[in-house]
Amino acid sequence: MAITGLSRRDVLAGGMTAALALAARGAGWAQQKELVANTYGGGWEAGHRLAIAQPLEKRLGVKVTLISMLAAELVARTKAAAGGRPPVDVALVDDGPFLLAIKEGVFQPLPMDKIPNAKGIFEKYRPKEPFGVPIGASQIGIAYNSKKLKTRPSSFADLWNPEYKGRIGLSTPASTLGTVTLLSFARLKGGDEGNVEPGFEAVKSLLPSVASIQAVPANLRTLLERGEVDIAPMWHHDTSILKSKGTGVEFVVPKEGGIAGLAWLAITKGATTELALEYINQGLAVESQQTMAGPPSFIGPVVEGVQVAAEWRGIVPATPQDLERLKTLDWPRINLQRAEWINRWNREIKV
Amino acid sequence: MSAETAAPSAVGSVGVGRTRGRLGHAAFWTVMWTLGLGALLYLLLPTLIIVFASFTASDYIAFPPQGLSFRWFVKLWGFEEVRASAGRSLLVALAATALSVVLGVAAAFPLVRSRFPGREGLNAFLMSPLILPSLVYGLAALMFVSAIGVPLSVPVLVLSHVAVIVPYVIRTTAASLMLLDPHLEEAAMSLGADAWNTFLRVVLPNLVPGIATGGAFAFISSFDNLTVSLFLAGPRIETLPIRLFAMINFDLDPAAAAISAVLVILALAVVLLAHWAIGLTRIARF
Amino acid sequence: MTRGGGGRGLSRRWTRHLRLWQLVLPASLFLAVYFAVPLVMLFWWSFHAPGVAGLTLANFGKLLTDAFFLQTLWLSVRLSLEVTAVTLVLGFPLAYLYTRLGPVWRVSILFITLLPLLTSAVVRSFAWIVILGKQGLINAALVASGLVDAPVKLLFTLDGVRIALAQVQLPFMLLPLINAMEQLDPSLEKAAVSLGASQAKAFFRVTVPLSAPGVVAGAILSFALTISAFITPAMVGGGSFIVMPTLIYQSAIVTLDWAIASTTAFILLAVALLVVWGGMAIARRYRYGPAGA
Repeated sequence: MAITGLSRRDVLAGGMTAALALAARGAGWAQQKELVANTYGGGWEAGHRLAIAQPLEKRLGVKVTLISMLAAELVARTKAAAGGRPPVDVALVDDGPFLLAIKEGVFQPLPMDKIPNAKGIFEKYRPKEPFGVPIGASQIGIAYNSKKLKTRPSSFADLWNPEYKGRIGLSTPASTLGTVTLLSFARLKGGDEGNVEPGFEAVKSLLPSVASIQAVPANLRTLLERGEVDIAPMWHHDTSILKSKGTGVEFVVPKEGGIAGLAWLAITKGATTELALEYINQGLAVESQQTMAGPPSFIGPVVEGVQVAAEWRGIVPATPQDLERLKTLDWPRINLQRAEWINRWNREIKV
Repeated sequence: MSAETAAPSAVGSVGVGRTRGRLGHAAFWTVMWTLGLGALLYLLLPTLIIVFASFTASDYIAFPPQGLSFRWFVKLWGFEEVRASAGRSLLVALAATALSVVLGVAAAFPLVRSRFPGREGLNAFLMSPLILPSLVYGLAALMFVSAIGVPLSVPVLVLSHVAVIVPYVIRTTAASLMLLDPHLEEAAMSLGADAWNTFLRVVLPNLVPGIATGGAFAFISSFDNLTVSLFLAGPRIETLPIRLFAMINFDLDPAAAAISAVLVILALAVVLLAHWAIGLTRIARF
Repeated sequence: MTRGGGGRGLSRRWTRHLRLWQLVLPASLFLAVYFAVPLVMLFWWSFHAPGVAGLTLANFGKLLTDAFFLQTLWLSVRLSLEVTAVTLVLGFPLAYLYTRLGPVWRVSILFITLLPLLTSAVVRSFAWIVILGKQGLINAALVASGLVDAPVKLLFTLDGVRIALAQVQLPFMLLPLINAMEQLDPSLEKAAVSLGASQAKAFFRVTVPLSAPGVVAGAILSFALTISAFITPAMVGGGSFIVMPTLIYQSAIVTLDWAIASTTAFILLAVALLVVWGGMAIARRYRYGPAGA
């Protein structure tokens, strides 16, 4: 039973070392902090974990938990927690909900001097108010299954091609994707954020070819993956995920130019601010943006200096040339009308 | 005694009548068996399919799976959030089950052995969480807890789970107790044992299968629970079903299928335990 | 049961004072505080509207005159009735077979019934998302059997949710049915056949009416659980339509309108109870009615 080769002294020494190590770790534990950050599911979560959470954990020895929560719920829960701990420390929200959340007063103003990496943000994406920073960009285009459809679309106008009849998927304005889709159609027919009528008319005339309309973009992606629809207006990052799975889905940048959607990071009121600022700063670092621009997230970088692999060039908007072809939208104006658009869509657009 | 009955053909039939009787007989049982087997397949297939799909070697969910591999289970283990939420679910379920067993076993005794006014009503009350929609209860519990100013936390979640799972323990313990021969206890006491010893050495060991089964059902109900947890857990107290729900809503990943397979295996273990402890046919009568 | 006192080992003085019925107190008090009180509070909330003092029916008025709300309520009721009917049609033959088969079959049937019950609703709904696609199993079977020419759109539709919900609720219909039918005397049916009835006639005239209590119990359970089902319609429906539980969740968590949430929950329970009572009334009439025996 005796452990040969180990004298009692060795065991004692070993024990003391272990005890000291534990004591040291204990002191470190007292300082260890925890951060809860919001993310979108799927590729975004994987990207944020790889590019932001893990480096942060390694560098600072803190614990970062990523959860996915929709903007509306996030705002509601933060307001409900007023005074206490908010549900998340760092929030991730799309353009539209971002502005609405600022109005609801759930975000803290950001001390931009504490986020040095923000200097690298593209001019086009720079925030106008100090309540958040963009962390990723996405461009809308056309996702189509090249294995099942012979003709490659080059523009939103091509959607009316008879080959696509019964194969098209759309999303409702309930999501950012759907709102941007509607505006893309509007732009095609000469409208814009102030005049969305041409957009509705275009969608209505396309209806005979539409196989499915989904309120949740993830469901649209599922349908595309499963072959229930074969062509749909979609964000480049979702499409790239499908492409990387070998499904045959390709992304086409419309020749009339696409629209960019931004995702914003903000800090909720009552959060652990210092750690949150570290998180945001890490997210804006070029290495992090580089990581997020690749698989499995394919998120368009918001800072300069990111290199995109050849296969994804043009799809993942990273260079100033890419950005030049992208339009950013007037979201305050959109927010005023969005509820009306959603209601109108629900009433008038049915497959 | 329960062999398949073959009814004799109609009395008084001659020739054609007898044939028609046999045809009708055959037709009847064909329909019954078709519907019955169909129902069985209907019950079983979805579970089987998701378990098989989790062994896919490909990057997306498909059935039949393209190639077989454990890679998604391995990958799952690497997801910190999945591990954390699984651990939390385990903690909550264990705590809730322990509490439920204490409360439930105690409550079963008077319900079976005592006669007091309102016993029937009390029994119905104690069983009511089983039929009240857990969605409504989750909402009510959230409102209650907010109204009394208690912040959401793991203990709050545990208590809410106890409320919905304690009926399982009460029911199986009571059923076991009813099957217990009171003569055993009388014999023990006539041999000199006092009430406490009788309880410990005679009653309790015979109740263990019932308590274990009820506890197992309670445990898995807590572990699986989504609707109550959706209301009462926060993003900081995520449980495994919540994480799974979020995963599936965003992306149909085989990782989600792997988590599902694990939950199915857990359910399998509970069913086997229940059969071994009490026997499924007896449980169906509870 | 003699009280403790003296004797060896663990007898305690307190067992002398402990009365048996008191053992039910901890569970009862706990449920009273943590189960009953919250529910009472929920109902209380539904009678209070923001900006209105005292008890009011304003919330009910607001909801019951809203077209969208009524539409959703009707959809929930309709869906639950349809699903319950399907589970009855599928469950009854299986329960009948159960009573006529041997122990191995019985255990197998129970096993297959209990396994989905103990699996989380999230997992079951997920399985249906996988199965309901155009290339999924259901469509493959439909096309192969020639029932349809091309794959049917099932995923993220109401039809798909019906199919998924029926499977999820089937165990809840099956178990009470089995319970009730087990207690029937099989010789009753045999007697009917020996008196000249065909097997089918004997089944419908003898067994079915006598199983009415089981049918009612199963239908009540199935209906109540289907109308309050949140997970399956949310996942398999994909947000393409809304049922009552979705409304409750949205108003409680997303818009934080607890007056509306509690009122919706109250109406949901009331409607479920109404349908249940109606069903029980019908069943009572059936049992003493002219059918069969």
